[in-house]
Amino acid sequence: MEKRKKKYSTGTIIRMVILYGILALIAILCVLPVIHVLMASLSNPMKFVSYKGFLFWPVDGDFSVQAYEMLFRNEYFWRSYLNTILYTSASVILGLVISIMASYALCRKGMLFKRPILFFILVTMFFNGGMVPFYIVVHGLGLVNTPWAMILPTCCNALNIVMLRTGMMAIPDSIREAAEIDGAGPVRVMVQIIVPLCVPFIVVVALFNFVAQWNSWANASLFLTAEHQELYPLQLIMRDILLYDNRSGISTGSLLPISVFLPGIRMAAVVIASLPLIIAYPFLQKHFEKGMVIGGVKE
Amino acid sequence: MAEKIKSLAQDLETAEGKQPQTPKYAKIGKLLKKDAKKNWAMYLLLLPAVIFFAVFCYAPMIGLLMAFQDFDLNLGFFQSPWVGFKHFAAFFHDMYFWRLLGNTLLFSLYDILFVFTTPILLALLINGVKRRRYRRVILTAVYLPYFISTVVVCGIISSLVDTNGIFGIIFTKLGLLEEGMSMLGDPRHFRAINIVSNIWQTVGFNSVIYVAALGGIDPCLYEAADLDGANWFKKVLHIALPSILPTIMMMLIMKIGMMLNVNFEKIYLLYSTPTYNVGEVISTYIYRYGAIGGNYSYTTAIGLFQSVFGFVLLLIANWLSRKFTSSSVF
Repeated sequence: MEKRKKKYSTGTIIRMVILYGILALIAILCVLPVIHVLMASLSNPMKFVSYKGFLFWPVDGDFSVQAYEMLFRNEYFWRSYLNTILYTSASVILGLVISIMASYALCRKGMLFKRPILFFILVTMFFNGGMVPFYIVVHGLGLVNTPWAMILPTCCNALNIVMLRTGMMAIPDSIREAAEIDGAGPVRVMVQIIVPLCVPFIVVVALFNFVAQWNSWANASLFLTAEHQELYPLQLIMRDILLYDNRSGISTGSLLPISVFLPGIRMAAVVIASLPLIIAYPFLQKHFEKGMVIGGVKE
Repeated sequence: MAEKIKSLAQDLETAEGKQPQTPKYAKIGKLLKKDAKKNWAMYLLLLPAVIFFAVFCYAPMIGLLMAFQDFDLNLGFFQSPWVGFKHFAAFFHDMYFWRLLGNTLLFSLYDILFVFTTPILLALLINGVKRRRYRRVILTAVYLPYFISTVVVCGIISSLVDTNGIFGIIFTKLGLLEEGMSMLGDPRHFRAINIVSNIWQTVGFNSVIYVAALGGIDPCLYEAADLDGANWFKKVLHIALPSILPTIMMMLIMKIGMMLNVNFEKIYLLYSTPTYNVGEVISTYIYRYGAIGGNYSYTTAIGLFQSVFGFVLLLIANWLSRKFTSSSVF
């Protein structure tokens, strides 16, 4: 260690200070908007509405959870929150079941139609019908304005199967064969041997889908019309609160006009809507990195 | 699998040689029966996935034929009348055609110039950091925006560029924004807001793959360069960049292939009447007039045009890359 220290010349030190400084600056720039939002949500909404500029600390150092209290009175917000939890978990679980079964079958040797089926699935990574035909198909299945429209159409994709298959291919064949000699059927081998062995890959796929489903809004705004607001996922309600100036369902419990409180409530909504992702962030970061490498290798 | 085919071929050969009276298809039929008997459970496991992709991926692909129909939701795909290239012709004569194409190409160009290149630069910087803990802290910070949903990002943007937001204030002071206006309503700033926020969202996450590639470079190369007295810049130019060039080219080709599918979500959420002029791209137009507005066949034709155009760009990029850097996707 001491030897290495001696090797640093003045020039190296200056260069390192500059490099570390630039990176610190970039990192701070990435996090700053998040800090602003957090502090704004914790400010007194009546003070925040007229505040100009950036917040490193609640306005006037006045911590207040008033914006959150007002948000919590919004029934639409909570219903959509539950909806999103339901849609996300159902779609992640369904997607996992479909893709685990498929990728398990696609690692088996000696299947006559394995190649064609794999090709059939991989093609969908590069070609798709686009937004309108996709909508027509979902509409034709009668899924529009039902919760299934939020669960089925995007629950699975080719990349999931590619990633899971990569994981399963790494398991030596002898393990499976040993189980089969002991009399386990193929489904039992899958559930009791293969699935436990590729938990890390399953976690990666599940997290990818979790984030995608939690954050998606475009499909929802296609498949759920405004008359069915009770089915709205969180992101659609967020769109209405944040961008469309839709004040329905927000009650402040105050005689002052709602526009006084709206900016603060918006910031509180941002924090609450992103909460699951913030809590899961340490896992997400680790596993997404891994997923990118698995996916990248295969591409 | 290859063995299977070989043995199948051998089976067929011997079948032909030894028993010329047995037709080929009987042998194939036997093989199919054997496969079905041995692997029926596997095919059953594949069934849900096959149905899923058939319904939600292949059916829409077939649905692209709607572009040649006057599709009517009540008549359905099979009853709607066929009209040939009518909708394509109509699109090329659409008063918005050049605006849509121009905006789409401009957004894609900015995307490649700025959003695509910044992660590479960031990765080169991060690669210079040898302290693991510092590296971890930086990565944790720069990944964060990637996980924030598009809707929320747009909410944050509109708060920051609002009259009371930090960017709104700065730009008003600089005289680049009229007093009391939101930057989002100003056509001059609309594209920049989109591109800058795109960088903010993806720079960290997209650098992952380059950081991984840079980590795989043999340290001997750097040691040799040190002995030759190369400085940091020279090492980047002559070792780091050439080593990750295949990765960069692969990502670039994929990017060019998808270049016309400008991420429509943010533009759609942020634009409004004063900024349609600079913001409307092909995909937002399809979303607004087709999927929501009900002009199904017309916008399917536009979507098909975009995909074909994108595919041609992909092929050109791939060809150029193979020619000049000897790396290609296919």
